[in-house]
Amino acid sequence: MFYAMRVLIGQEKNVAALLAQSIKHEDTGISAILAPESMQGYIFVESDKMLDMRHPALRVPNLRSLVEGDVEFDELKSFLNPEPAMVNIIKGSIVELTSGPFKGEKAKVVRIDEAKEDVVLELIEAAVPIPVTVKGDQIRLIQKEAE
Amino acid sequence: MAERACQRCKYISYDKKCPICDSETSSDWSGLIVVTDPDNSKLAEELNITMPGRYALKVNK
Repeated sequence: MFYAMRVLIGQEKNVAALLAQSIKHEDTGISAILAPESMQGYIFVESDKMLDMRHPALRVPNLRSLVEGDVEFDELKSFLNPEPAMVNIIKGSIVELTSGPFKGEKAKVVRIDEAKEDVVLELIEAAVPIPVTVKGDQIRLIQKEAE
Repeated sequence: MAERACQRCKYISYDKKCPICDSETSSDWSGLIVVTDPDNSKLAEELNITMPGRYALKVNK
């Protein structure tokens, strides 16, 4: 069975590693711990037993609580093979920046470096068109190709 | 020192060569799965993981 656990945001990987250490010599039934990059504040645990948060091995710093109910395996499948960030983005696409100093700005794609997953953008609303290079996962597609 | 993930088997280590399959490792990786019991894990089976340890979900070259 799969369970979701709430953890402190930003500490997902640390908690997963600490939890793995902590359950090493305990019989908790846990066989795998998953900390997907796209899921902030949660980790997933695979166990063949019911998890009891009162178990001393589950007392790990920054681990907040167990989410009630179990998670279906199909729901976790999408986290296992994360799609490349830039599948639909082509030269000339209009995108929105989702993080960094230009968060929320719209920009046009000038060049794509698929090997590095980098995208060179030109901000639409800027007075002077300056090329900005960002990672492919920092943008969201708005319009596939500008007319 | 930053942790690195193998580009082939995604095993996480500190080495430039993977201790399991001897392939190149990369410092640009994301997502984490810790497998403690690969024989009883559906997640490990889906990802073809046969050895316990820490693995990345995505490794960029």
